[in-house]
Amino acid sequence: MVDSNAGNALNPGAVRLVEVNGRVEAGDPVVIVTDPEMERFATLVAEAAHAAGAVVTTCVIPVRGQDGQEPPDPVARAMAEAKVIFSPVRISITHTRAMRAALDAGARAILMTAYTDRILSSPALLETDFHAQAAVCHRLGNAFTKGKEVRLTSPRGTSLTFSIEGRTANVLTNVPDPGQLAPVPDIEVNVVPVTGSAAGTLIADASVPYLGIGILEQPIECTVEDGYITRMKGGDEAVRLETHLGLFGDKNCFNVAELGVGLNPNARLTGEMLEDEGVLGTIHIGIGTSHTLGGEIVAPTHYDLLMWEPTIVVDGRVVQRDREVLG
Amino acid sequence: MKAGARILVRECARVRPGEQVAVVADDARRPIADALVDAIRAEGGIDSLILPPPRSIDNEEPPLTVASALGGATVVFLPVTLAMAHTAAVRNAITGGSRVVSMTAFTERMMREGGLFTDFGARRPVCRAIADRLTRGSLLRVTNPSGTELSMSLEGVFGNSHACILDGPGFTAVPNIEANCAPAQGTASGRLVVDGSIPYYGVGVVTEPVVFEMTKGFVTGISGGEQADFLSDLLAAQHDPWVYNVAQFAFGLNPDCTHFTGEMLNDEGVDGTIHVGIGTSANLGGTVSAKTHFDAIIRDPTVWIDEESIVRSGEVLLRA
Repeated sequence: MVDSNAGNALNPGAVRLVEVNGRVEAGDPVVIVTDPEMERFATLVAEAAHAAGAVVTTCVIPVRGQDGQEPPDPVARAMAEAKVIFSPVRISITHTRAMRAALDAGARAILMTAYTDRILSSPALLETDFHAQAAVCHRLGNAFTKGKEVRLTSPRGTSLTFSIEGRTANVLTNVPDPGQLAPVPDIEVNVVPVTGSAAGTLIADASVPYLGIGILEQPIECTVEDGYITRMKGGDEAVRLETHLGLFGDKNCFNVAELGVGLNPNARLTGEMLEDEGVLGTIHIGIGTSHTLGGEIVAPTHYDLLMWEPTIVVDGRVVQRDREVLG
Repeated sequence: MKAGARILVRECARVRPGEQVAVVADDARRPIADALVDAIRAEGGIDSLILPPPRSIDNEEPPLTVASALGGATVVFLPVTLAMAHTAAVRNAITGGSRVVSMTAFTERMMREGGLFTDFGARRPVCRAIADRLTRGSLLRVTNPSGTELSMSLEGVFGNSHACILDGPGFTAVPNIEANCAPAQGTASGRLVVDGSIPYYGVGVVTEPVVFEMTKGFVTGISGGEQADFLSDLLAAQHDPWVYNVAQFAFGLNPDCTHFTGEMLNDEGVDGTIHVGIGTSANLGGTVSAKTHFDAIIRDPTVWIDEESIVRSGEVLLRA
């Protein structure tokens, strides 16, 4: 068959995803799962993977109706035979049995949910030394996994404490080993607070990359009691978030589900989830479902509230101060 | 292409609501694949579009990712540029219960007119009757005005009826209504003078007859003009002795495939023609898996099974 890509320049972002993040090698079976809205990105990744000598199969599925809806059986079977999976889809297939089974079978997954041209050409993707940051990730991850008590503060007035005793940190290095996934360029370490343990005040002043909110114009101040947000204060954005969460009539939508630490030094705050959550110098508190991260709570939603300049203290020791990771 | 896609999904594959349906395609056949996806969704099927990596020759095995995907589908459509019908991946999917519709090198013309719009049900009885004769027969002989004189044993052979309708697990190539078999291994001998079409590898409608000498089940010589030379060189380059295996004898039975166009599944279905398949026979009931499989179609054949004339000068005599 004629190689229709011969002579065309490869997309640098796609090359990076394939060669650095996916570490695709000649002969590797690669599966790209995409949908009609995101197929452009699948094509760019396929070209880069093909150029790297991989055996590339692209699966186009209907846009999922909701996060976590299983892909069709034939696609799940293809994923299970892949060495590296890329998923440029509009609606996430990250938290599915199909993905779990593929990872358990040894696949590495590069998650590209709701990818954009801007992310594909961002310094966060193109200029980051992912291997160097992986070492930082592991250091912080170890501190969380061994730690018991977390105290989180910020100049804006956040003061939140919670237990992480017995929790294992999720370390998203962006250079995944077999069995791991990576939402590139969101380099992140996260941990699930012991359910019911969080208490204090959380002031989000960076972004809420959901519900069309994005970069915050006014801080959202949350009162946290016994692991749940009991009150939100702020401007229109706070009202929009609280109103939306209230619609579900489910207390678990307000569960403090996650402490996530952004660790990509080149990521910038843009209002897009995949880049915002990786911004070094921010942390995010996830609220709602925690079971996808290793917790117990199942809720209909999971949103993240980002804040700037965190100081994270674990068992009396500072492990991070703003952009400086002490581990 | 909507009407054609609807026929393929409803009449040929009989897709039911909730069925897992895989469409395996490539960039060149993408508009056809997209029309199929729409038709599958309209029937309530769950569609997956699989785009495998480029392959080098017809009926080369796809990678395990694709083979496994086929195994996850109860219905598979194959609008691909290079045939996948004669692969272990497809054979295993059928064994696992899939209904496979082969659409190799399908064209948008074929989605809009010709053989696809025939009455498949009406032709099914004669297709089955010929398959039954192949099963019961002992010796098949074929001649044509260009000089074909070929015979083969049908001992232990099982005939297949592919009438483009799948009620259960199995295979059919649309729109070539076809009754076929893998002749007894190592028995085909004589001369096949191909004056119709070789719709593979870009050869197409034959411009100067391609003469295949056959001895004890293998092609032992290919001669003629440029097309013969091309084919001869291509097969030699595969470095696989089994690519010369006489794999298949088939009757084309679609009255709406009226003339050779160079389109594979049109040409193989032209009513009253026969074709001989060379290479892999494992998907037809034979035992050979080769690097490739292709078909060569002749005009105006006369075919006998034992003492009975089945086709005379391109006219199907057998009645259901």
